[in-house]
Amino acid sequence: MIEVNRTGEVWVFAEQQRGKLNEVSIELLGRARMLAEKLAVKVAAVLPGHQVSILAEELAAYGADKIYLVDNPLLAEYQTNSYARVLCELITRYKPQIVLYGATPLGRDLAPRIASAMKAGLTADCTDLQIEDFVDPSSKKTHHNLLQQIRPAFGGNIIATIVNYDRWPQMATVREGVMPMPERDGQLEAEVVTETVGITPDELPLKILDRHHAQKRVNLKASRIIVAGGAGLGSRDNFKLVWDLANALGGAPAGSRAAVDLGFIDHDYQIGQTGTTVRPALYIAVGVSGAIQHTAGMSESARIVAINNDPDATIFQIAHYGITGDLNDIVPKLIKAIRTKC
Amino acid sequence: MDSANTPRPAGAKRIMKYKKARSPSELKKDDDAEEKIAKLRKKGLLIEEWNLDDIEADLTWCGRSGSPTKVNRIQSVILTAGEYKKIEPTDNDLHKLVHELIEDHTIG
Repeated sequence: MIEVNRTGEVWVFAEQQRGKLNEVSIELLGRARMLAEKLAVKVAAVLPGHQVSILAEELAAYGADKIYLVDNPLLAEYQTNSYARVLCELITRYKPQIVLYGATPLGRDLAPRIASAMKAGLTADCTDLQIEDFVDPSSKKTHHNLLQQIRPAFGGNIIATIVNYDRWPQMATVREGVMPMPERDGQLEAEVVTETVGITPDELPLKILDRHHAQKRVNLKASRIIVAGGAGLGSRDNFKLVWDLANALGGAPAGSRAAVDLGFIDHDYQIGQTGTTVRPALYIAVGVSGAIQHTAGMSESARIVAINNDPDATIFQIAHYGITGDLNDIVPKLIKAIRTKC
Repeated sequence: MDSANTPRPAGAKRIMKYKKARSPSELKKDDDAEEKIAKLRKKGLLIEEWNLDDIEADLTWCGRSGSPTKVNRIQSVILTAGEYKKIEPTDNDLHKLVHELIEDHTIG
């Protein structure tokens, strides 16, 4: 771990694969900016890779004041050891206060490795990050301006706020879609600091023989209108109602975890804590109970219409419009109303 | 026979082999604990136990006080009844809903 450094920067690990930035890194830059302003320090992005310097411009446009670029052919493909080595060395050199990672498969692999190597604290899957003072209940000592790492726990029944006051840097992973995307400003510039970390081929235990990229079938985050179905639809055949309603609206179909587990729809379409987080203009929840693990992924939708035969369903507590009744009757009527009006 | 028997669990052989395995902690209350431990060790059925000294653990990193992260606050999630607009499942009300969503440019 590094010693507590109150002038340290707020860092974001800029995850990229084959020269393409992962959107979660950009989202984290927006939150990092807010945190850094409260701490009166700079935001920096850490960009390991090979021939990725072109991404520095994008990172700057989304708010990075500084980019630590580590360019090495051995970093062309992600491997845990090499990337962890880069981050650990840079953290030791520059002593940031905070380091944020996307909770992607890569981030989930990398961040714990760094936390373990640095003997630092890490909180995974945070849904919010804030800066506040913390009073240690045992010593009564006040630790000023700590990163409050907020996340649901125990199946979403509680919200826990976690702090790390002495085993720095303070580190957290955040899922894609949880933080809002910052505005891009092409006028912004950043200082690019080119760093070298000595990595030898012997340190890489894996050899990448082949790479196959499977495109996701749907981009739910980009969909303006989403129609999601839950277990209440009863069968994969009946899930056709969700597809039909989505088509009528020009939107995307989606499903709750329950619907995915029951085989009604593919995992690529899952909304929720273990799926995608979305903020569409319109979210229609058909036969979705409203479990907190699902609403965590859609509660910030601009308009929520809930259709459920249970008037006490939890989904109605976050809906803007609620329709109680048989979805097999309501959805065809709604489709007819849409086709008549539009 | 209408259907096949339930298959044996995977690793059934291993389960049978090791079902008599014990750890020293399980046996310590027995009068002849030492003898039993020696017998199990000879058969390869003694489950080795390690303590913190055996693994050279740093006590400052163990337990809740050893965690680098601390819980500052816990809040229960209490969903309060939200105010939503109730739409009747009738053609008329559904048409009105669609009209409202078009008017505010949500759809259309």
